Amino acid sequence: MKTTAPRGRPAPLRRPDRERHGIAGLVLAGYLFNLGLWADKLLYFFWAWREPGAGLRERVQTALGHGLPMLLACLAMVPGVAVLLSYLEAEFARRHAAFYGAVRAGTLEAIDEAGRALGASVRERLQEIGRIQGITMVLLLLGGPGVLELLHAPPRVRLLFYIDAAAASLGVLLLAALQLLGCLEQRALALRLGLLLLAANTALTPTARSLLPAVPGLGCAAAMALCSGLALRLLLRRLRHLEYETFMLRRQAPRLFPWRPA
Amino acid sequence: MKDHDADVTLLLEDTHPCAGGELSGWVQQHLQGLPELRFSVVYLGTRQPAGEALRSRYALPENVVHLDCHYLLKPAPPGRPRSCPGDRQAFAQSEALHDYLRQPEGPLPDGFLREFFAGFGSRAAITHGDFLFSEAAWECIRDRYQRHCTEPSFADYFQTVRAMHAPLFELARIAARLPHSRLYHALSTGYAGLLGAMLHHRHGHPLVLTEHGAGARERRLDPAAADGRVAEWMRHGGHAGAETGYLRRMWVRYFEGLGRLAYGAAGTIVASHEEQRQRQARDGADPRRTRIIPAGVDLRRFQPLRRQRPAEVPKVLGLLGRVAPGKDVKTFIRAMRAVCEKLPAAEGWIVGPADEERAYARECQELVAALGLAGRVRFLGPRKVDEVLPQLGLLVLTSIGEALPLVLLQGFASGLPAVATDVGPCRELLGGGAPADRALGRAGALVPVADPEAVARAALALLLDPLSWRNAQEAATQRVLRYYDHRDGIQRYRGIYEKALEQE
Repeated sequence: MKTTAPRGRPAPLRRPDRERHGIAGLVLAGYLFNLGLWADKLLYFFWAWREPGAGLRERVQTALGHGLPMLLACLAMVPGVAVLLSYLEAEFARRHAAFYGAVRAGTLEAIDEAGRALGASVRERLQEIGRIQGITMVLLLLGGPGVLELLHAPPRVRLLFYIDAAAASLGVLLLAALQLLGCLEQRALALRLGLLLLAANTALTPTARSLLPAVPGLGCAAAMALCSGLALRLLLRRLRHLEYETFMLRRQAPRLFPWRPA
Repeated sequence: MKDHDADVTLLLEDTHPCAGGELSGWVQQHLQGLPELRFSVVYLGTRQPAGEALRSRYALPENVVHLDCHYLLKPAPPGRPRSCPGDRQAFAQSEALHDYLRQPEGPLPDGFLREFFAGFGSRAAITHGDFLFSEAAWECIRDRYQRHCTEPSFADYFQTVRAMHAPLFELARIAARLPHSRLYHALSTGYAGLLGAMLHHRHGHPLVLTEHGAGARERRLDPAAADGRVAEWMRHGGHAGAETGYLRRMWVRYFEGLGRLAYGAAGTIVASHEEQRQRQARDGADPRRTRIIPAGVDLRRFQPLRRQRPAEVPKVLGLLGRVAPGKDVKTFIRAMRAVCEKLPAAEGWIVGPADEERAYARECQELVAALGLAGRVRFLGPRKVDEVLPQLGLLVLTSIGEALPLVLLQGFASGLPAVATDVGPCRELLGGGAPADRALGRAGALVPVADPEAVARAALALLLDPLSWRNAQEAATQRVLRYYDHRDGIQRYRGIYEKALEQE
């Protein structure tokens, strides 16, 4: 797969003149992520609209039948996203600063130590997000049927809700991986992963629909599983080779110490 | 033989034909003096100054069939960063070479360098990309840092290693593309010497190494000294402040290593004076291969100047050279203060460009004003040596380091004695080296570095006593005539070239 080749990295050491560009990249990656998450729903809306011989009411109902479960499932992302945001703000920011501080002026030992600490903390926190999303899924499976009963949801919509909830939980891990890759100077990679999600969801949804028409939302879940798995792999690899890539694969500026004032 | 094939390839660093200086003039003389040989000239500069193109300052004689000019530091490395494993065997070889240069005990295995330099810089071994981006290179750098480095900042160490090695790959590219030549002649150690060693090991042709300037050891000196090349490279590497400590020692050791490789490859190693020859031996040159060929002057040009001298010795002391800290112009000015007290008619002329070290030149002018020497000490700017020499009564050299004081010899040839500091070959030039040379007498006076009183005493002793002035003039003229005629030097180089080409 093309996105796995680590090419065209931006400079890993943040510099003020690169900051704005970096933020734009992250924003774009966020949009792509959301677009990728909703691509299959948009496809379903489109198909519902084109349904021959259906009235407006039926069309809207079919569309809502696909949109509402995802909207509800997105609520399932809240705990994981909360953990992610608080981690990025506090512990990750601190460890990130410690690592790049060591890169600037520390001994190799200090750099190794800071890199190891950063990697360990990221892995730990990803596991925590995974655990929290797992618990959320269990709660949804236990409490969901009652709520859906109350809403008089048809069985197909209930099934879709569970699948969407699973996809959204995987989505939290993907979101976390994209954010962390962005912070580790891999914004181009994060952007490509966002694009991949969009492409995979758009391609897998019609395929799944024609293969298993009885089970809705499978294309989205498969695309999410694929992308989050890949993103986590790339993130963990980046963390393993953090020092090598930070020092050796930085695009060289004419100045040899770009982080020092001229 | 093709049109651009040469007999001898001259390897020049920061000198002829693109830069000025005394060595450049020597090279031009050398080329003109050996018209029967076809020369190829390779110029190595440091970094291209903004907006300046490389151009030759000299009209090259007709026997120069090829000219190659290069800057060793390129603004950007080749290609985009790309992760690659790197050839571990080649890096192990490079490790072995580094370990040897760090502690040279005994010779390297036979053919090691031949094999190493045959592949260096090419895909067969270590490319520049491998050095910059490969995992093997990363492990090497980490490993050497952990084993040897006491510098606290790994990033500084890392950048130093990169800055040091970048020119080597440029040299490998140059070596791979140079036209065929039967003999290589490097005019210094450092990068020119290394290029010579690379070419020797790649093609098997003999290498002659001449050192006029300071050797690797002297490069330890600060930028103010004669050869601040370490300081210059450190500046390019971003270490302007690293005057002491591990990184500085690393640069010094690096140039010593380059010197050792050049000494090892050279069949003949030429020094310009005895002290330098001994220094070469200490730095790893095989004493059996060292020779002394003093740098000479063109007597046909300078001897006639003697006839232009006025009957009475002019009371003018001249310092010929750039206005730069290395020349210690301030000591000359202070000495002039003392001279003028005894000899109110005396004048001091400072002849040379003052625009290279503007801050220092301004300080010197302020010192002249502060000592009340306005009108007595004059900054004449660059002038033709031939016009200035006959108007001087005494040549003064206050340098804190000198590698090739050709100006002393030019003065001697024109019948001008000198007062010079005891640096480089000055002792031999003033007092003589071999016993027969010493018997000619003293061509002036030798003084300690940075001692204005001593300069003034010596200058007055010569200027106030016509007899000792005449004796010094006679010794100077005889010495330069007998030992420093550049035609003798050319003749000896002709012999060295012929012998090397025969053996080939």
